[in-house]
Amino acid sequence: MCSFSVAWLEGLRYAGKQGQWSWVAHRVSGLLTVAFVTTHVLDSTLITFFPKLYKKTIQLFKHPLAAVIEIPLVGAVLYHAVNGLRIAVMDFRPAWWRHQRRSSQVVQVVFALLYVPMALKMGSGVLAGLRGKRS
Amino acid sequence: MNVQLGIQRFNPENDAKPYWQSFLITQVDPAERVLDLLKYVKAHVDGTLTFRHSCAHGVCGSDAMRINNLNRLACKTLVQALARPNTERVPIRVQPLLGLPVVKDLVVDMDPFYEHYRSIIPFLVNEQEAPGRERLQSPEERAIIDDGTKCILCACCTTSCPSFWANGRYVGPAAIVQAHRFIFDSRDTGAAERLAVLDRKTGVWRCRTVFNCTEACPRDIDVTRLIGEVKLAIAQGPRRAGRVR
Repeated sequence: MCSFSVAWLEGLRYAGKQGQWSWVAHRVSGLLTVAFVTTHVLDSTLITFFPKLYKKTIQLFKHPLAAVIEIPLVGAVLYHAVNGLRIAVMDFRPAWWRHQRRSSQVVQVVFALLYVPMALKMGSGVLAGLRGKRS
Repeated sequence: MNVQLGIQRFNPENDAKPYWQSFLITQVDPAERVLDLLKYVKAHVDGTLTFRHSCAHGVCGSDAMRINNLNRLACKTLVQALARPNTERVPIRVQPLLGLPVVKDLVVDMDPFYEHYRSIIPFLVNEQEAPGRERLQSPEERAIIDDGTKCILCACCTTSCPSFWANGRYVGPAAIVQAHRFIFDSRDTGAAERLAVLDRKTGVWRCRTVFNCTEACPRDIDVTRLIGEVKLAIAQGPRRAGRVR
């Protein structure tokens, strides 16, 4: 029988179509979202137990390079949300399975339309910060 | 047309782990099937090669395997369908189905698959007195279960499912398709029992709507749709779920 790790490996090797790759992207973006939420919970906890450390941590997050990490994180949250809606719609309307390939493409387009401007805005903020002109 | 046929071999008596063996087969007719190539290798090159096949016409489902990283029936997969344009040598890689224990070479132990199949009570349940003639059904009532009746239990769908790869206790798409066939059958009265089985942790809720099962089905069954209808039947009841179609 297979294991969780085999499922991941085979998920990348199996020659599935759009649904397969949407699932892989959904899992990866889900893991990134969990990492983001966990970090946020942990740093928020510091304010109660270690207030000084909390201030230092927040300073660290304000560093322009930390903002670089936020760009893919926002992408992960956004993709996970949009693709999650697609899956929910498919679950509530099974008869729409015929549109499943196109629905994956629609998710990609909607994601790109939402994410590209956001990423550009965030990226320009990072560049401005690196030049010492924090916006 | 030449074919470079790679086969994943494994003999539990001699091998610690599976390995790849390659065979060059020349002058292959593009209309030949992958099953023909395997039979050629067994007959003329290596008689120890082990694989299942029976009807060889896509009806029995016994030669399901992973061909070029996609679950298919070897008897329904033509060499020309795997050929890339302008290539003289067609690369074909054949592996056993993933998620089931390998017995030898391309033969997997189907027992876990059939256990899941049996768990959903795959037969007509009707405690009412037999009418003395056929239990009649309208064409509309038959149409609801028509797709599920096409299933040949080849396991292509179940072994293409990431949820099944991750957890072999998941009943899998094939068992759910069979359950759907009886849950929505107007002559059956055992829907509640089947829905209770499928409402468990190892039931339909492990489906992640990946659609690999639908893509892999050699009988073109809308597997994910049927799974979705069973999910709705659990959430809303079979009658209401039937109207969502």
